[in-house]
Amino acid sequence: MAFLNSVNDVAVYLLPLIVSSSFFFMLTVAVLVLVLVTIKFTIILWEKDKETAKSWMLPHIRDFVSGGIRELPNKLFTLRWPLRKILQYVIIHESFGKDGIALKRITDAYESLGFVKNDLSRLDSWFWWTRAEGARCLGQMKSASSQSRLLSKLRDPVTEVRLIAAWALGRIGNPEIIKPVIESLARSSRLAGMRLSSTVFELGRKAVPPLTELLSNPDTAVKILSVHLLGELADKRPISSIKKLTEPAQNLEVRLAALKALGTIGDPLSLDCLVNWLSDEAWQIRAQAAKSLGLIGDSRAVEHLSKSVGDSKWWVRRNAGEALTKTGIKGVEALKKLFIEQKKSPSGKMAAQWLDEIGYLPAAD
Amino acid sequence: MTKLDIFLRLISLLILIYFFAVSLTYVFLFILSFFGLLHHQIKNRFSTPNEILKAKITPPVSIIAPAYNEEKGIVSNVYSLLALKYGLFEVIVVNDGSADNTLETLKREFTLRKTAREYHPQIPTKEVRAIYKSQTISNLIVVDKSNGGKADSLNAGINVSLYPLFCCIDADSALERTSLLQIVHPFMEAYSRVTATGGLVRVANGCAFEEGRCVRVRTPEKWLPAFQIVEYFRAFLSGRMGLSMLGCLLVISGAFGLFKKEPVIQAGGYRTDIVGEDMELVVRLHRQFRRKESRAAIVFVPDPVCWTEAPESWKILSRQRNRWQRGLAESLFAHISMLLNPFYGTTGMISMPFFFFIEFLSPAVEFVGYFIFAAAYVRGAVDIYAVAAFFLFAIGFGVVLSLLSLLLEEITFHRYPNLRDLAKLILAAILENFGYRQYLTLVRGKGMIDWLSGKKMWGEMERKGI
Repeated sequence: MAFLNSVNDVAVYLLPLIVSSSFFFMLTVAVLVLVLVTIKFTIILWEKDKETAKSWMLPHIRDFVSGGIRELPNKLFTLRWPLRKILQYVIIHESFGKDGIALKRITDAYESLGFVKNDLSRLDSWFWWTRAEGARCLGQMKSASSQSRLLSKLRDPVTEVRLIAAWALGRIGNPEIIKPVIESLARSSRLAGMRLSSTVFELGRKAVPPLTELLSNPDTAVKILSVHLLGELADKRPISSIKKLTEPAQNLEVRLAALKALGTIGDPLSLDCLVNWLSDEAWQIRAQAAKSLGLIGDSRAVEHLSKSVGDSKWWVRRNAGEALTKTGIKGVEALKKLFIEQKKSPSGKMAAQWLDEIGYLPAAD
Repeated sequence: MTKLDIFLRLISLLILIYFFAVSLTYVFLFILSFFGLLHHQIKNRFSTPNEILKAKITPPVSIIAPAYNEEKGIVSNVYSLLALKYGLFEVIVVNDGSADNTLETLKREFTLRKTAREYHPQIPTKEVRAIYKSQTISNLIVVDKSNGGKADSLNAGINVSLYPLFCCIDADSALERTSLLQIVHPFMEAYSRVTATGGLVRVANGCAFEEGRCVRVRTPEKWLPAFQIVEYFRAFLSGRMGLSMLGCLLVISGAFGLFKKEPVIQAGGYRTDIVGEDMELVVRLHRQFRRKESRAAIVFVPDPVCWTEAPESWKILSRQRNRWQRGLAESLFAHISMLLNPFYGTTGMISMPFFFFIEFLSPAVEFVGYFIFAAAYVRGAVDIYAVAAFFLFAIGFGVVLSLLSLLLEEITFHRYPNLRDLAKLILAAILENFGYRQYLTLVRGKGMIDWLSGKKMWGEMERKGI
């Protein structure tokens, strides 16, 4: 009973405390609801303002771009926030899909209205999304004068800012940016690789010499990224440099990237090198070599690929079988021979699977 | 005061403290989710699904759709999966021993023929009778197997799949065209770390679909699915987003999730002996990774949408929620050693307690609470303010949380553009707390009892089809 009484005393003390806290808590949450409702209504009003402003700004911009007027109307230069912000994005949206003289007119308009200066100052913002947005606008407008500032953003602590800066630099089109961009993003994500592909494709063949130079960079990640990008560009010039990266002295990941790139480039000059690595110690190398031979599709590899269909590793057998389906009639004949002569063995079964994929196996039913 | 009165007062106090703690937890998760969603929306401005579509390094995906007695909707569902915007992917439909003409319908529509494709039973499954390939669509595979349930079908699909990632989806759900591009995004950001990602499941009732694609978003006529819309907002936008931010998301919806294949195979695949196989797998993955002294990054991505049909009758709804509660119990108790175990990091110290003490126990506590407070008030053990506080938590906070989740949806995605629909959802957010939630409390309580008595049935889900 004494215990119960002491429990009762505690409960008598605590209960009103919890009850008052509950009401206070609910009041706080109710305020949170009001705040969110206010945010929602602000968004609705902003969207309405935007549509109204766009409807009268757009004709002026389009007239200027088409050459209908020589100068932008004065009222555009005297706009204040938020109309000025809306105008900036009207111009940016107009630049999508444009190039040549039309893009030049748009970028001139953008610069004359002072937006490039604004974007450059946004690059120093405390908020990463403002820095990224500044970089993006400068990239979209191909602002060559902002190159050095964008290069400094390659060392930004936030990955998204670095990615956008890399893309913007690619848009500007100077191949000298390749090295700093790759060194800054080599250890980032697949998204970085994806964004770098865009950068490199913006530059096209101009990107090949600097990327080839990077193949001898001491950083493995830089080598891997560079060889991958060279593969995507599918230029034959760096083939001999890429072949050197397939040597056993190199890191496994580098070798794999190099073998993959040789396959993507697809030049028969790589044949001997790839055939050689079909008998490498590492099964990953053998598998990738087989896959790349399939991408090249040269029938001179058929005999070697047929042996690889009997490899001890499933992935090597699989890739070799697939490669044979891509090396023309000789490859298909080799698969049929394997299927007939070694039906019950792993190579026979793999051959059956690939013949079935390409419709050369009689239906099982 | 008598001993009984003191006892009632003490229990009332404990229940109030429990609800206070639960409410604080939900508000904390909501705040995390709010900032998480905001951050996500801002990040999204700087990358687009189209970039991922064009990139050659986007990982290929095997989409696995288990199908059981789906002859009515299977063709349109398969076409909608094939129409997904993505680079390299294959669609694997697993016919789980359907008693109707699901397989024949597929054979006819897609000109299937048996293949010699090797079946690698890396995860043991029921007998696979045949593997078919479409002669008209190169990336469509159909697996015909003996009936073994959804988990067994998923395991068979994993065994047949070619690619390093697999996406599990319900055959009667509909993905949006860019859903796969969006759900793969975390893998693009950190491929070596991310193990699985889950997307947002939305209620399809009331919406218009063409060829499996949602073309108009509307609220349903009936109130029951409208309540579920609000409930899904709470669960996904407030709950899962918050737990994902803490790195301890314990569940990826079986209707739409993307997994790395290797870790799932190493973990032994989906368990076929429990009903909550989706949650149990995720918990097991967390456990497996912790034991290897690394972390399974399991991420919730709020953009990619999977539309699913919500039950429109109380009977079907109660079967579904009964099953979910049993699944929750089974998944938790299969890994009960992780509960409050610091070895398992935030999973053991935050997520497991959240699911156990809040998601699992709250129906029982709420149910008991109604009786305790009534009895305590009648006997004078507690005053009217304490009773008011209890109902404030039990009902009032529920209204507030639903409204908060609805607001979150409005600020971020705004998928219901019509004002009439918004008004209906606001009313649903309020009304669901006066009867609907209490009904679910009863159903979930029954689910707990069924679990304790060893019930394993799925129950039949009647659907109209999207």
